Amino acid sequence: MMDAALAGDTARLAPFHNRRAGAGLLALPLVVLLAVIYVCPVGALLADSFTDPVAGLQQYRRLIDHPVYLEVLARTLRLACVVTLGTAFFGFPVAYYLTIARPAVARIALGLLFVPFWASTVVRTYALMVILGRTGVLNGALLWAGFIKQPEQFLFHTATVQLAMVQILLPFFVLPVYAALRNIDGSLLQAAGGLGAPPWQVFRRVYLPLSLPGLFAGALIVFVFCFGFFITPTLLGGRRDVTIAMLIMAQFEGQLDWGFGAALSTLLLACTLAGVLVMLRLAGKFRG
Amino acid sequence: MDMTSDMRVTGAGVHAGPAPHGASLVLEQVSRFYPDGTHAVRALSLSVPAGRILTLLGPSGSGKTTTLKMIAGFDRPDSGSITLAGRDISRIPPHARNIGMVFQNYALFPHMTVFDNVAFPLRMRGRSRREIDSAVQEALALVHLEGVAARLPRQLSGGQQQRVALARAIVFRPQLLLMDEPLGALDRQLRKSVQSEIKRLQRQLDLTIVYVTHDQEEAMFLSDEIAIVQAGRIVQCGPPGVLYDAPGSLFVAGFLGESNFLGGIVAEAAHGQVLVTLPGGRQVRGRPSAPMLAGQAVSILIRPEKLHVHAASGSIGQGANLLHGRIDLVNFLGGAIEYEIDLDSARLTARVYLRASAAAFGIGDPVVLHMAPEDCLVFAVP
Repeated sequence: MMDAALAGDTARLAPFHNRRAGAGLLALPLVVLLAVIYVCPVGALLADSFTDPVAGLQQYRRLIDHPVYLEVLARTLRLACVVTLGTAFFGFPVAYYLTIARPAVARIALGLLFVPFWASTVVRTYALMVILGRTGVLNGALLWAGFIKQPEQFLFHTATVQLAMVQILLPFFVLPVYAALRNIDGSLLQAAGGLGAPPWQVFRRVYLPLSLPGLFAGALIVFVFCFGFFITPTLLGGRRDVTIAMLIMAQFEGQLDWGFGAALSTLLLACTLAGVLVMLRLAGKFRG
Repeated sequence: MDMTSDMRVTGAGVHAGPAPHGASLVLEQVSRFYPDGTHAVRALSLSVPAGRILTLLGPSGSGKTTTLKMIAGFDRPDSGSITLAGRDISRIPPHARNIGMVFQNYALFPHMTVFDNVAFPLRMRGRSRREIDSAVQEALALVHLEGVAARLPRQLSGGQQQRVALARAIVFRPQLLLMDEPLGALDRQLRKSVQSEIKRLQRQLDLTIVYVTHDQEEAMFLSDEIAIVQAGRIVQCGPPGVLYDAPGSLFVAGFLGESNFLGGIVAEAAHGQVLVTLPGGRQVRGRPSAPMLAGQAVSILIRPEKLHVHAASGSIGQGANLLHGRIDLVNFLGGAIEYEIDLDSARLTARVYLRASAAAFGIGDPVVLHMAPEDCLVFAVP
């Protein structure tokens, strides 16, 4: 009787003895999926950039020879930086507020933060066009109030694109930062105050340094998104707001120049990775 | 073991420079309400003379930490005043109070080295680099942590972190040092040595300390005075010896030290003595804690070391303050033996310090317990 029970226990425990090996298998479906739909296509793309239409580096020479491509790249980089800083500027206070708000209020605020996820970026961008357009809500209101005599053109400015992207990407920043801020031990802030630090110094010397890892995580997500952003700049931007993603699209759809499109894609990928590395380096430095 | 042996204070030139002494602290009628209107702290008054250690001792939720937070300035009293060195500080923000605090979890800044942690309060006071360097070295020497200045807190043991927190709290020579259960996370052996260390530092630096704990042994060991806190008010305050020998209430008696309680009814009350009849009919003479009337229900407090255990066979048999029982458990404590003794109607614990003359009893032995009337403190049962 005892033995039988013991044997049963052992049998039940057995799978857990090598659970590490088993757990690796759980990741297998995702690995296969990623290999099929991500690694292989990107590899093929990379290969295309060196082989299409003929083998050689001519696609990359073209990239360098025509300054316009690097200009677009620089503009995209600038857009990504401005939008990342913008989300940090608007998002950090929100994330902080969520940590100090009463729990019931914080829950509601978090819920509101998720509302934009219910609509796709396309829908939200079109909604902004409806608001900002010549016959849009904003112009209507300003005309009615008498601030302007005739409709203003709010669309197709760089600033409009930036503002829209900040608005769209804000939740991606706020959530990781909120999670990081929530983990900051409140007694550290009290200790700093008790040791003679006025509130501003408590923020600068204790709160901000401790929130940097979270800030970098949020900024990294936003930056990577920005770099490949396509819909919003296309719909809201002017001729000067062409991003590298839009150029790539044009190569594949308009020009049907797959080789050059692949070279541009490779450039985008390399720049994104470089950006990620720089930010991780910075985050590591601040973490000490 | 290295840790405990290097805990000795060697007197590293602490009194060099103008060392401001600890200041006196007075709390007057301080109250704090919870948002729902109930009291966290009610009309609490206490006073700590300069250079003394006062311990707030009480069960968790009794309001002792709230009191400490109000003294530090992290919480505001709804009424009453807090005076440090003669100055009302109750409306002054924490950073302007010049009070050091050691937190329960130490609250060391994880992104700063030990040196930067200890230097923090000095930097906030705009001291020069040279001043900071020497003061930090001195403070670290005082807690025997010279070698770890460049390390991060997470690279230290719990005991070392505790000492960094202590160094940080005293490096700027605060007028008052607050300690919120600072030893709670340390193991027993280490706790003992840190307690002596705190006491020695306190004397050496002439610190005024308000200490919070729920550990009565720690409170008795450390304190010049103990304030027993219950439900947001101080029920008794005094030197540890007074509180132990003359507790003002059953709560204090039960909270401080180990106690035996015998329930009974007052038979006679006169001349500063009462005669109490126990449920079995036996009578015990004791010292009343307050005036009493015959017929009143009471509880008699007897400390375990005040119970004298005799063999039942001897000449003592009948008489006052003698109780018959049987040994039920024998607990060896090293320097003493604890007997748990079954009476007809109660169970008592007696502690006997081991001397050559002390007779040893075994489980089941019949014994007679004797206690002096002055060691039997009688409390009215509410």
